[in-house]
Amino acid sequence: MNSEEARLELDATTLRPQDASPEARAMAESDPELGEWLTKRTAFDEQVAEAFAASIPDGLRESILQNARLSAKSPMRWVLPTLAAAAAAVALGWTMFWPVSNSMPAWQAESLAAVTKVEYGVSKVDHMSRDFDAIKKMLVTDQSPTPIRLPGTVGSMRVLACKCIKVTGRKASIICFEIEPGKEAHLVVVDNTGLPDQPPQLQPQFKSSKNWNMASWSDGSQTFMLATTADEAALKKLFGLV
Amino acid sequence: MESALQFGIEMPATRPIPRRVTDAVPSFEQIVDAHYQGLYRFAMSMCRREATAKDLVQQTFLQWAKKGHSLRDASKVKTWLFTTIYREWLGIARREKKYEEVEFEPDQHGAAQHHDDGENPRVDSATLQIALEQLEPNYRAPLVLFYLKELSYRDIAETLGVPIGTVMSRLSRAKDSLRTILRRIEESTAPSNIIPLTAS
Repeated sequence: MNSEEARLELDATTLRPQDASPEARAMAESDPELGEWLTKRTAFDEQVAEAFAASIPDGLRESILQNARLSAKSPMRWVLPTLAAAAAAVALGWTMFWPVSNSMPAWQAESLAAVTKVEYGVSKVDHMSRDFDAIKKMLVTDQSPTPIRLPGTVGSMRVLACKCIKVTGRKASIICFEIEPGKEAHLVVVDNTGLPDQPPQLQPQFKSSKNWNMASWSDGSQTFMLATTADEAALKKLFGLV
Repeated sequence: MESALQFGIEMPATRPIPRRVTDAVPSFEQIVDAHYQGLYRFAMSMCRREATAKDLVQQTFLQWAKKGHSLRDASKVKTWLFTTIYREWLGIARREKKYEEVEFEPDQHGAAQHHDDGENPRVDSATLQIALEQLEPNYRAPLVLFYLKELSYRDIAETLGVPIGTVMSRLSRAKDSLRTILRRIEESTAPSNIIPLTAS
């Protein structure tokens, strides 16, 4: 380090002498001219530093803290109403399309509720297969009822999946078919022993609720409900009624 | 915490900031208390408008609130804040075209240093502000940071994004210029230079 380099470093550290290197400080001590210059320079810098204090506007600190709080809260001002609106929209939509009504027999209400959840993806199916026999085997394995006999062309629809559920406390099955391209029909099979309000034997009863069309019937010890969002004609066609 | 409000025009009380990465990061309020006065003084010296200076400080702390968590070294909080406020000011100054980079750097072109060995001029707050306004921003920025005593010359270099050697030479030249300007002001206001108003 030469004298000029030491002078630059000492000049940059007059107010923070701890930042100067030992070498620069040693040169200031050993060189009287440099030392005198440093003393005068330091005195001037201290004088300027004292005069340097600009007044701070009143309330600046509080204003900074307040703005920071508002900034931190601002996302919530968007997020909460958005979430609330989304939740309300979902609830409203769900209410608008929820087909279950109090006038339905319990078994039908529960069956339709389960079918609706499957249709809208709220509830997942247990097995997927395009083979009806395979679906029936899976249900047997799960100890869930399988249809002994199906009317008309119900059993001829293309099968998609199945799910085990409970209806009024008893085991039941949902078997999903493709009734027409892009539309599904869900068959609920339940053992009707002691089942109240069961539909008549071999006489399908048709009913609509919201956007759902349903056919319900009993056949021996089993009661069925076939529900679809396809139109009523498509449903009745399965029973040879159109 | 409230004592920071009573400092008035005194230099800010710098609260101890953890020096290691593993130390706990101070709270937002602690950081504001430790640095808002220094930041405001720096901003005021650069832009010379109270409203703009306040905006710069506000903006700096908002930036800290948003991005400060990404700073891994707690000892760099102060440098981060001063770097941010300097960049914010640069952005404003460039939009207003009041500041252009000084292309010629005497220290990088072998120009000889001039050392002012005269007597120290007198200085007060008002005179100092007048003198600072006459300095180029390239020289004013390191000088103000130096007199705030908040940052070492190495930190000043980091804040301004220039080499350490450049900061040292700019500081030296800026101090010389400041002394010259202050002396000129002193001479122009000396009693011998004041013409008394007399009734004609």
